[in-house]
Amino acid sequence: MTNLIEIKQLKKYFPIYRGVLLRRHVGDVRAVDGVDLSIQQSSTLGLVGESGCGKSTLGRCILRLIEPTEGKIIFDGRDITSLKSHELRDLRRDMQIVFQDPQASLNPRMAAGKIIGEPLDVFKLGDKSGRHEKINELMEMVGLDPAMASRYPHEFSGGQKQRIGVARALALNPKFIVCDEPVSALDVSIQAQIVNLMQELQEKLNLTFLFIAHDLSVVRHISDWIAVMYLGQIVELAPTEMFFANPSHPYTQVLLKSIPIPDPDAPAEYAPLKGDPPSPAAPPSGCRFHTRCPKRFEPCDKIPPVPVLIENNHTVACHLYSRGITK
Amino acid sequence: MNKSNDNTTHDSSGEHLLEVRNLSTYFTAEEGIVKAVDNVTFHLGYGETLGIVGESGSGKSVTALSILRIIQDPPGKIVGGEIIFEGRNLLNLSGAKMRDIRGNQIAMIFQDPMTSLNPVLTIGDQMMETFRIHGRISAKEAHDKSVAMLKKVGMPLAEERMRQYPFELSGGMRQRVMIAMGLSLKPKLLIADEPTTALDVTIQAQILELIREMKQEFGSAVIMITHDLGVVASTCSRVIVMYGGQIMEEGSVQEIFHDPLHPYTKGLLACLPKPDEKRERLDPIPGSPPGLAELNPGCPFEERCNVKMEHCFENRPALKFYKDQRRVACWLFDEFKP
Repeated sequence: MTNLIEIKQLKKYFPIYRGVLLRRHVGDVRAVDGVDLSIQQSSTLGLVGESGCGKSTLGRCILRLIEPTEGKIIFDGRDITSLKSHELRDLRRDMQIVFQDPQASLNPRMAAGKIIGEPLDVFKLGDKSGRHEKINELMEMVGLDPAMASRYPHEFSGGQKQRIGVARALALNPKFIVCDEPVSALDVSIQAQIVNLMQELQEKLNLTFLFIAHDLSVVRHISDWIAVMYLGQIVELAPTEMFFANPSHPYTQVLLKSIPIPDPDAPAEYAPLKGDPPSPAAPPSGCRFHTRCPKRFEPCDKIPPVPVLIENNHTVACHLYSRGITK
Repeated sequence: MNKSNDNTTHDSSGEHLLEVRNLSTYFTAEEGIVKAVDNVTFHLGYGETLGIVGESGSGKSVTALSILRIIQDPPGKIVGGEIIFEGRNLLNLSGAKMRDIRGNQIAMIFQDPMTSLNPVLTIGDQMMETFRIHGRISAKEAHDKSVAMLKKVGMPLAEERMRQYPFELSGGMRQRVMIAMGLSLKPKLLIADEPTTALDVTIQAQILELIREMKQEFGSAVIMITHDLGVVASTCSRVIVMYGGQIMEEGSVQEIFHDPLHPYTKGLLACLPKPDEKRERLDPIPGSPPGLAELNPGCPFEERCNVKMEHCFENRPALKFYKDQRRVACWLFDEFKP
C-alpha cells in the first residue's frame, strides 16, 4: 500500500522570549522533536499521548497550519514543506481537520448550512443551487436533517455539532483528515455514534485519518496503526493488533495499565506512574521518559534511544531493545 | 462539634450515614421549569463508596450540590424531599449549622481544580482557611497541619507549595490540593464530582489511587460522580445510574456491569469499545439526551429506548425494588403495567 503522508525528522520549536525592551531568545518549547511517521492511503493512524506531548502540534504541522521548524512533510508524493501560500491554498482542499470542541469550532453567528458550505464559498465552487444541493448532501451524509440547515449551532446538541464539524471537513472532498480528539468532549452514548460515522465515511469516501486522542480504547477500535508520543517524540509505533498483543515501551505499558477498565472483576493493577510529565521546554537528558520510567537503567539518562524494529513493522525507542546496550 | 468516631467500625445497626428521600431540585429557566433532580431516593452506608453515573444533564452533579445545599438560588431551588445525614435533615438546618457541616462532615472535590481554587490566594492560605474556620487554632498550628496534610496526599516539597499559587501547580497537583483540603477535617462523607475528568490517564490513575488510600485511612464514605464507567468499576461498590434527573437503576457494581436491567444501562455498556472483541461497528444509543425542560410525562429514556412500549411515553415507571438492594425504574420489570 502506498503512503499518503510521510513525515521525516519533523521538528517544531516554539521560542521562549524574556524581557520587554530587550527581548532575548532564552529557549524553546520542543513540542515536536524529530518525528518520523507515515500514514498509508485509506488507513487510520491513531496518535496517543498525554496533554502537552505535542500530538496536536504534530497534527497541525502536517496540515501546515503551524509552520514546522525543520523536517519534511510529503503528501501524496509531493514535498509540501516549503510550498508558498497560494500553492498551499489548493492543497488545503485535500487535507482537512475536525476539532475537539464542537462548541468552540463553530461560529455561533452562522447557520449550520452556511458553516458547512463555507469551504465551497471560499473556493468558489459551483453556483448557488449547486452549493445548496451539496450542503444537503453533506448533511445527509453525516446524519443531519437538511431541514435544520437554517438553525444556529446553539440549537444543536453536542453530537450534532460534531456532525456539522465533520460535514464541513468533508465539503471539499478531501483525501486526508486530521481528527483532533473528535469525541473527547462528547457523552459516552454519543461518542459511539461519531466513531461509527467516521468509520462509515472512511469506507465510503476512501479517506485517510490521523486520529489524535488520549482514550486508548477508542483509538484501538478505529485505528489500523497506533503511535505513542511522549514529550515531542514517538516512542512506539505498530499496527494495532501487534501493538496491543505486545506493548513494548515502558511508557506504553504504563499507559495501558492506567486506563480503568469498565469491568469490576478486571484485575486491579495499581502501579500509577509517579510524578507529572516534565516540561517540553527542558526535556530530560537521554531518554525523555527516564525520570518516570519504572525500568530505567544505566545509560537511560545519558544516551537518547533511537527507534528499533523489534518485530515486523513494530518500532520502539527504548534502550531495553537497543542493540549494543546491555542492562 | 461532633466527636469524631471511627467510621469504618461504626455500629450501623441498620442506620445509614446518608439518606436522600424524594429529593427534587428544580431550576427556573426561560424554557420553563427544569427538573434537574426529580424525586430521587437513595442511601449511603458508613464508609461505603457509591458511584453515581450519568451523562451530562442527568442530574448527578445537582444531586451532589443539593446534599451540600450549595445550589444557586435563584435560579435553582430544592423544592421537596429530605436529606437525612446522621439522623438530621440537612434541609431544616440553619445557615450557620449547615456551614459547620460543610467541610467538617461533608466535603466535596470538584472536576476542575483550576476553577475551584482561588487564583489570588496561596495554597497555604486556602489550606489553612479550612482549619481556622472550623476550629479555634493558631496560624502556626494550622500551617503545620496543612503541611502534614499535603504530605499525606503525596505532594512533593509540601513546605514550598504552601507559598505557591494555584497556577504554579500542574492539574494533578491541584487536584491533590483539593483532596487534601477536602479531607483535612476527616469528613464522614466525601463527594467527588468528576474528580479525574480533566486529568490525563496516568495522573487519573494516581488520583484514584490516592482517593482509595485516603478512604482507607480516614474511613470516609465516598460518593463518586462520574460519566466514566471504567472509574466506577474500579472504585465503587454500589452504583446508581441517572438519566433525565431520575434514577434509572441501582445495584452492586457487579450487578450493574454483569447483569444490567435497565435498557439505558445496557445501552451505555454496549456502546463502549471492548478491548477483547474486535467489532466492525460500535452499538451507540440513538438520539441524544433530552432537554430537561421538555421531558415527556413518562419515562425520560423513552425516546431513545429500543424496547419501548406504548404506555412508556405517558406513564412514568416508579423506581421499584427488583430484589434486595436492586432497584430499577422500567415498565419491563413492573408487574403493574398501566
